[in-house]
Amino acid sequence: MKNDELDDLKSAWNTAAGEQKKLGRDELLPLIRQRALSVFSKMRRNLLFESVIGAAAMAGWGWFVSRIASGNGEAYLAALQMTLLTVLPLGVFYVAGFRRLGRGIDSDTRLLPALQQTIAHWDQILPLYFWGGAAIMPSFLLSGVWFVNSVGGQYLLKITEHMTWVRILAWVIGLSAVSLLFVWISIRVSYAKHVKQLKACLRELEEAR
Amino acid sequence: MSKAPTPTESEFLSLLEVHQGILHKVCRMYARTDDARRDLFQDIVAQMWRAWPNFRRGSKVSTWMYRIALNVAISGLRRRTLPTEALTEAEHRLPAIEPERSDEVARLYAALDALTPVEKSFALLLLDDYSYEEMAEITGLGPDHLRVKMFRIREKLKTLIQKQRTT
Repeated sequence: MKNDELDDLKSAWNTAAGEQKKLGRDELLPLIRQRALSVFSKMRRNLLFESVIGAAAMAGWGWFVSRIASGNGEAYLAALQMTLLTVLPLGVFYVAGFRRLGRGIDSDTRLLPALQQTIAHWDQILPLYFWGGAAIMPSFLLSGVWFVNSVGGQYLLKITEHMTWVRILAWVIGLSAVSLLFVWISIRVSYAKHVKQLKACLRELEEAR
Repeated sequence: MSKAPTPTESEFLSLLEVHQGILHKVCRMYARTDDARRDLFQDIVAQMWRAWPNFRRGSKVSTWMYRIALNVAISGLRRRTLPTEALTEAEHRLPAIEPERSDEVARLYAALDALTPVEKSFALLLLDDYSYEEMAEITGLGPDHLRVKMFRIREKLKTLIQKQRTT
């Protein structure tokens, strides 16, 4: 491109940009008073919401167990085991999620390192989402079966009277596989395209280095 | 009624009033509709305000603003992730400009719209006459790398605009 042509382009661009209506202080002030929500802080907020719902569910669970398993030591033990098996993976998932999402990215970093940091951030968060889902489902199902079995006869059916442990295990594996597939699909639909796009931007930026 | 700005807010607003043209340019480059531009503008301003306490007084405001604006537009530091849908044919034909704009500007906008997000960032810096040092400050690339990028972007813009002239 010749310099004259480039100058014409610059002039056309800057003239067009100059025609843009400037915002006054009263219009700008509300913009700085709103919260700066990045996609990461939005994910963190969702995680916080989920953990509040989880805590409420735990309280409800405690109440349910105290009513249904009253005086049944084995059922209490099963309820405790179920709580530990589901709460521990969930706890690890939420603590790790909060830590990683909370690190954040400085928005005033230069473009190349900012892209590298953002991609590294996604590469840490997405496996956490996936394996968080992977750990929770089988532990929840297995301990659920044990709990139902323990209080069975009192209020519920005994699952092992209808199924062998091998069949139960096969069901747990099958249902866990289906739930993992859903987690994987939801990650792909919600975030994978975006991360792929960011990686393409990074490759393009690094080209010819 | 909103409260009066604090001294820190006031200082930031003064800077924003003077330099908001940079943000409008970035928004025009990366967003196709008025709503999308408004959203992007809001996201950039919010991130700038968040980064304002770390701004080193004495360093160049425009490069700092460009860094944040491009990071928000490209790196996904936004409320939403980047739009992934392809441009529709109608959007290709109709660059987002007001009808009274000249043909030359329309061609320029149409050419810019066909660039990738990374190319758009270089085109912005080229059209805004930034030096290689300033570009390096914004992008984090070395001068040699930037020369190559700038040469390529000039050639691509030339091709795209010529293509626009012939259609």
